[in-house]
Amino acid sequence: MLFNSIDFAIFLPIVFALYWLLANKHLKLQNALIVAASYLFYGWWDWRFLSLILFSTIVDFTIGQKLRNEENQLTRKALLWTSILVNLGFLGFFKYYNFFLENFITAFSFFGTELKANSLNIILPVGISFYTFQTLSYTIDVFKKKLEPTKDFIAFSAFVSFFPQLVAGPIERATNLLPQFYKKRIFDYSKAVDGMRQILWGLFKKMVIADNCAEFANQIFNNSTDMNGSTLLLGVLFFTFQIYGDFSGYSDIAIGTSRLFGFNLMQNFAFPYFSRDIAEFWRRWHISLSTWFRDYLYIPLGGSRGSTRMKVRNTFIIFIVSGFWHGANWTFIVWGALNAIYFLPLLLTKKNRTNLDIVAKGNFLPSIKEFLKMLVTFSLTVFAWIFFRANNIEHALSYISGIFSSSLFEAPIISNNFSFMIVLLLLLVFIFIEWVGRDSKYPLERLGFKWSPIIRWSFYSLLFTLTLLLGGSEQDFIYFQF
Amino acid sequence: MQKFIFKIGLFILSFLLINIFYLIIIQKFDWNFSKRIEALNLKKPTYENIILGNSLAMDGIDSRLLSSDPNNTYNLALGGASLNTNYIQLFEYLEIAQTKPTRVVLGIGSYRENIFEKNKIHPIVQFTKSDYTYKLTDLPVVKFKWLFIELIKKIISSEHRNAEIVQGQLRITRTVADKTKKKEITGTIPFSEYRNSEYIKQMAQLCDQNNIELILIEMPGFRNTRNNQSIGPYEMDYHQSTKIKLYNFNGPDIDAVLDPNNDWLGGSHLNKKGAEKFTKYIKNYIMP
Repeated sequence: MLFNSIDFAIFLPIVFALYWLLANKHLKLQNALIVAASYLFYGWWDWRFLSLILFSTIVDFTIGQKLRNEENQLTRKALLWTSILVNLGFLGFFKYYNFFLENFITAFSFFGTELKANSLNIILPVGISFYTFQTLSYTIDVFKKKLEPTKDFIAFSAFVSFFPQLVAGPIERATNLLPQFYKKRIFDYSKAVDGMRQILWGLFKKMVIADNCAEFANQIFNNSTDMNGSTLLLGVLFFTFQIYGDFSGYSDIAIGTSRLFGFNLMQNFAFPYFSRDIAEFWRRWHISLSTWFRDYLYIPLGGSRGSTRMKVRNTFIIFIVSGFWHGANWTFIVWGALNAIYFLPLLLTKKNRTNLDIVAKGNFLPSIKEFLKMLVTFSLTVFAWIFFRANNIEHALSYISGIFSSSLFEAPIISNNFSFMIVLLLLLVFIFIEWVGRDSKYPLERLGFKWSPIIRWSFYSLLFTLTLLLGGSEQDFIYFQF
Repeated sequence: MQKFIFKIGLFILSFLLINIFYLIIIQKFDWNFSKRIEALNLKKPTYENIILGNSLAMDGIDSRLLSSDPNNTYNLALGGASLNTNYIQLFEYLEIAQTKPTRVVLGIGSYRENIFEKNKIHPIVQFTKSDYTYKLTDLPVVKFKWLFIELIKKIISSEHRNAEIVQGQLRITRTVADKTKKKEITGTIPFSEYRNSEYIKQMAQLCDQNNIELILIEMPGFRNTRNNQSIGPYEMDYHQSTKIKLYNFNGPDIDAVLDPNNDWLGGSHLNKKGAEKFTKYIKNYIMP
């Protein structure tokens, strides 16, 4: 079920009404309703994949129970590794089997050995990378004794399958989300209204910004050999805003929907395109994944401690794994490695934590220095997105060489000039609103608080209407494929 | 909770009011919508010639120039209409017509992708059909969202604002030169797709039953869409009592008629001047 679909527009009010009108008296009932709604939400794509979630839930719940009373370190480790292998095994099979198979065959062919193996026609279960990491965080935290294992299977099932963030995050930590299922939720008006506002902003980002940019980005990337340099540059700029609007829009809808049900999820995006260096970008982009890798991979590897060689190694590992998490393609690995290369100079000169606060805090405009830093960071990010979006490495390289050619200075080839101008205008408005609201969790959080209620609600109605009127043709959320 | 539900109720109410307001606006100011309303409100029409098709025919065939009597022709073509929609429009027209037309001209741009496969009914035609059952997805801001961009065009461009609909034809004076080049190997007319089209068959049947001559014409497009065949006519057999003629007006001959710099308004659509030239030209072929 897509957030921007009519199905979800019917589903959400029904679940909301049942939750607060029928199930609000008992905690168990609230949690059971969330599980039922989440399974319906997920089964809407393909009911067969429900068995995967259920299996993963049972395995991690059982391992949590066993870890509760187990003191023997070897047995504890064995239990942890069972959970890791089961979860990553599913992920590996569904997401990476064909990739490894094809690369093994290619590798052996270099030595003159022709291997014959059939790739499998595997359908990737939606959101598997997200809920796998979420359940893993539970087992790891229980293993590290940071979290008391739960005895409540329904609460645990609700934590694993919680529908707002099930298929594309934010990837919640068990330490944050699970305890929220232990307490009965009481309706909070301001929280619910805040949730609605964030949903509205998320829908605008997804339907107006991402879907409109997608039409141009897809057209240009799919016909890149016929395009001149300036058009190719526009194509990757459109993709830059497409992926941000798409993914952060999804996160906003997920966080807002959770708030309607009385839950607080972590912030997943914090205006990343206003970053002044790559380290800041990664503290603001897909925060739930970055911090997951930091806590469960980077720090256990030694983090930024140790010799320079270790620092370089750890940085490359975390960025490459992060890239590979996005998809079974060399393009994602190169994208990750490129970001590691961007990040390393900052780490080695100990400047990776210089820009912790939002840019131009307290001022309306940035200084020239800040602006130039943002511009450089943004350009580096845009360049890396070429690899992320390209079909393969050859496509990415030909795209880059197409940009850096003499045709960069020709007029772009745009098939629909009027739509193009409208999308550019929308982007400018979007960037302006994001800039004005950059000190909040999302721009609408505090926008218009001094207005009279009638004007404020009229503004919300207008924004909602414009979202529907100006929305591009419906596209799947990009991150569903991950 | 009550306060929240009350506010959501108000929000929904204001949204519904916006929808009603939007519907009123597009009915009044959108070409396709106002044209559709006009066609539905025709009182016992007696037109001799009816034009069907999509925006290519809506812009490109001048109703007042097609026959000797300027009032004898009505252009029912609608921007974005599928062949299925054209069939429905013809059926509806024949039900209200006092006298059946002598001929129906169906303008098709076969070089356009999937033109024969589209069986979706045009949203405006669907919405205004007398037997249509409304659904949640029929909220005007959802169903007719693309018309919003057309409205913006009208607001900012005087050429769009000053366009007029005359007997169903949309007359726009705007000029966008055809800068495309002819392909080296030009295409041919997809005869089999014409023959296999279920909705052309149904239109042929309807015309046959009502003793109407159905004429198919290939509408001209930009130079890069040209086919390499002569005007014809080509006889198409839809198993009716008479064979149907297909005229190709997108072949090499049309280059002598249309000026690439002055007769187009973009995207293979003819402007007012181009439509005049084109209609005068085809009149010699399709009118006895």
